Amino acid sequence: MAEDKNLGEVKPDEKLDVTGETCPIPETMAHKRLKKMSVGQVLEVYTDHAAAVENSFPSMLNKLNYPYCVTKIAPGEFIIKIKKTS
Amino acid sequence: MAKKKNHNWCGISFIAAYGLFTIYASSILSYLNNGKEIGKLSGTAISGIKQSFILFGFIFIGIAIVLFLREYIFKSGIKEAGDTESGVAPHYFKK
Amino acid sequence: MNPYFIEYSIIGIAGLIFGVALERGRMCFVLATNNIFTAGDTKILEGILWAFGISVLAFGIVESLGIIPVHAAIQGVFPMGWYDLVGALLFGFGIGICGACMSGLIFRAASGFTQNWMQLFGILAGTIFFAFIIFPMTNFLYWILHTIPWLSIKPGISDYIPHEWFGDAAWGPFVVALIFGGFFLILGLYLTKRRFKKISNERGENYKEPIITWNMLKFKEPYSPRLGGLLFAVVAIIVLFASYYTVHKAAYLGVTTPYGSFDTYILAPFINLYNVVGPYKASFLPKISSNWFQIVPVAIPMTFLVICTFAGATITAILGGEFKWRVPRRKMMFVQNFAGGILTGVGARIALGCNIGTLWSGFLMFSWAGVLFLPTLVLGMYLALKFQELVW
Repeated sequence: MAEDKNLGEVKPDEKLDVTGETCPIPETMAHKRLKKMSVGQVLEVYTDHAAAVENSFPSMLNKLNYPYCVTKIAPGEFIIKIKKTS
Repeated sequence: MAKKKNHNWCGISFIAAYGLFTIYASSILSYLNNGKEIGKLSGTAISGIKQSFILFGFIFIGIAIVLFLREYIFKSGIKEAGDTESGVAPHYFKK
Repeated sequence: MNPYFIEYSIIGIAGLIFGVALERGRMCFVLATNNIFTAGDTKILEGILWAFGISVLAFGIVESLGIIPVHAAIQGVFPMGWYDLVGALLFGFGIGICGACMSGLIFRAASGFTQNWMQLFGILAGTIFFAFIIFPMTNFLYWILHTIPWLSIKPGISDYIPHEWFGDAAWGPFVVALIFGGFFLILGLYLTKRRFKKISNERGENYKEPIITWNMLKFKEPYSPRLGGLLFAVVAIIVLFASYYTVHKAAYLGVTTPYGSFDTYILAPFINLYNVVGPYKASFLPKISSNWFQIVPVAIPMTFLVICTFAGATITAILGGEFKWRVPRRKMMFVQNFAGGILTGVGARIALGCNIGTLWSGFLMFSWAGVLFLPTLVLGMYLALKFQELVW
């Protein structure tokens, strides 16, 4: 699905911190957490793995068809907000 | 959760460490080559390899100094840290 | 001028370029396969296919035109055998659970991922473990030389596919390059086109990604993997020419053996690994001439290339504002990466090389090693992905 800029302001329901972990762990953990959450909730993932933000997360979320928003909070540090829609 | 920290000093010391490692490796090449039977290198090879190890060791330390100046004298690294606008252009999204 | 000085200096520059291509292009085999398995995304794979395709074609042309004669080109050929299959499985599982391949770990470690430093230490430990315990205890070289005739070492030119197929014909390397390289390049181009078409359909606009932009050159944004792949091919060609024109010996890229050299450099003040092989030779290997540590010279061009790759990757990570000292939240990851590193190191040694030395260089050498390495590598990475999904 789409990158949704409005998600940037939404308060997340759950937070996931995957500092220092490389792929595939950030995506795998986010996917597992998303499965446990209920529809309509927003997950905030904190990661410092640029390759995950550029490649792995967008391709996974496009397949899942969830809207997301990436914010660069500092050099090499990102927050991804994902809304579970289905 | 926002941890805005600049760790470039660490990377700069990495580069300096690679330089030191290269110079250190150059100093033990001939010691390691002694007593070898099969993969023994000739004297010319050892001296040539030694020279280039030392040259690149100093180049890395030079690069580390340049990056250090860039970081702490010209402060450009800190300016980048302020750049926190949204969106890092993931390659794959729909408008 | 000392030819070795010129060779090593040029290869050092190539190493810096290699580091830039790795770090900026995110050229990691694990990332590529994971993206395919989890989401069917081929962006990184396209870069790797470009690297393979362009370099194989270039090597075929160079060898066919006789710019680098075949007898020089085959000097560095790694022979293929069953150990490629076994080693690749272990190696693939190891890199899968670490999340970085032998070359990907360089840019990860160089941009501050502590868990990949842990993987590197695991590889260093695994290399020693293999050389001094597994190798002599299992009589490894004997098994390489004397088992499964149709899958064992063939000396020198008999493992050179153009010779196998076309004898001594000058156009042999070119035709083989056209088959293998052409396949990689066409597959890469096709996947790119398919991905663009898919995104275009979803967005309802003509979607295209530039291969190179100003922002990439200013380190503002990462390189497209295809640019990374192009730089990979350039590095392989520079290394081949630099080594041939200086010391008259063709060199191919490799990352595994350099890690063994690092072991000896690090341990040199305490123990000389190159010489300590002697007693093992006498007690365990009566018929076999030497252990791997004894065969390899104290410095090969690739040792230097790897050091420069680390430096190149760190420099661009700092310039791109991506360097960060990253410590994983779960300290368990250190253990996992160390264990994965040991598997990686042992697997790479069994297969006589890693995803660069055996897989890519295998294709560049027109040896079957690359083809044999691939299936179990992918299987190992797939198992590791499933394992991680199960555990975490």
